[in-house]
Amino acid sequence: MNYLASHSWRVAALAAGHIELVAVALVVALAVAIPLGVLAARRPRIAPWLLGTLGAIYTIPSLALLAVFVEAFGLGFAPIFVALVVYAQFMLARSVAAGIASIDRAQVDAARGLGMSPAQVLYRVEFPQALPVVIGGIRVAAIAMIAIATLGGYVGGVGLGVLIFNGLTLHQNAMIVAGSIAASGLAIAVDGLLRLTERLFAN
Amino acid sequence: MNPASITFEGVTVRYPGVQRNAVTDISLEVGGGELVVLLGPSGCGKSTLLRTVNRLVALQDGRVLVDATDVAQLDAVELRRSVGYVIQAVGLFANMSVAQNIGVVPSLLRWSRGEIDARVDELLRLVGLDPAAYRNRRPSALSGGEAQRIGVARAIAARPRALLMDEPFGAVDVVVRTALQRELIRIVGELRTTTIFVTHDVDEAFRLADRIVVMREGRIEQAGAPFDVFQAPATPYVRQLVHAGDDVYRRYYMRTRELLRTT
Repeated sequence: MNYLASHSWRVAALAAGHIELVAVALVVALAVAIPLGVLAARRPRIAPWLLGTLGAIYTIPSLALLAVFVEAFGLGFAPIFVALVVYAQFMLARSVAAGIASIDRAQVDAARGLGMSPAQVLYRVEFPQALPVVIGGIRVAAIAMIAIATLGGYVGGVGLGVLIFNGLTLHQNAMIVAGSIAASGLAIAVDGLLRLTERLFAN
Repeated sequence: MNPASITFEGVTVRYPGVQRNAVTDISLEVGGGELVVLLGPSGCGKSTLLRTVNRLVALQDGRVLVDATDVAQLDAVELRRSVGYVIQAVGLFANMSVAQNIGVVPSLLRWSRGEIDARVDELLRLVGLDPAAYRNRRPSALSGGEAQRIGVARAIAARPRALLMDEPFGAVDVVVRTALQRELIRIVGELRTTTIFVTHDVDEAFRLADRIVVMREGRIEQAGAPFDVFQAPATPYVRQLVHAGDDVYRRYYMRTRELLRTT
């Protein structure tokens, strides 16, 4: 607590870096996961393979996954960023697929029959109705990403993990506690915010 | 738009992975402004035949012509925008208001905002719903009968050249169904839109049809004016079908209808 008060600027700066890392990774992860989720919803044959593969990646311990990317990209921002993007795929793609699959087929039949192009069916009918489920997926992914992003302190010197790992090295419990509390607070805040958004879009 | 004629020429459909044809070598002409009912039990191929018109189903063999143009030559999306489509499950878009649902094809066709709004109100009145009360409702706040009225309004919003109806009133109760049938007769009578209507309900077929096409196992058993189908069933199957149930009523009904037509 003392550390939080006495070094509030440092904690705030690291928190900002933490948020930036997670936010950028989330945007990139979504850009990959949305097409994958649509593909899974459109092709029931390959859906189990696709989601199964992503699920398998998801079960790899994050530290092990990160080690692979450090090997590939070296230390710094890149390995933690890529690890976050890869790690989030399962939760995001699955929620996109589930959101689309939950829409009643009659609406899709009507949409096609009335003359919507496949893209229009997606943007006008399927995405808007899949949104609450997808936001739920984003919420779960974001919380996991905030937790995993603390490892960025270890491999890249970014985010609140810096406090935790420096604290471990320097035997400064106050730093460790400060980093942990700040990261937890961040996760709780993001969770609350996205729960609110989810409720806003659910009708 | 002028009502289109629809011609089926030797239409055969087989779904992938299915042994039997869904529809076998069907030829049929639907004249401009005519209301043709495809009548038969489930699995007889009537819905499949209907869905070849807007290319929701691909042909194995044969051609479907709308106003002498092979639909295979047309862009599927444009074709569908020019042909209304109503299904039993209605399929109103849950993320849109009633007005947005009705205006969906006009908006795809890039009508102006004002044109769409005016058209929506006009159509709500046409299907017997108060525009002020219904315009902004969500589909989830509608009864089955109301939803299907909106479904019909949505299908005819952009003044289609033809209207395809796939058991549209199959999921509503008898009282509502009768009211909807009566209104459909009025609406189609006003619009003079060529309509193909699919049903397994014999009474419904006789009530609505200019011409009845009885189907069974992917083929046409008989096609003709309701009175003729009733008086002279071409096959034992048709006889069994049209004389089942409330025969006395239908006899009386047909007589009256025929008298009305000839006077």
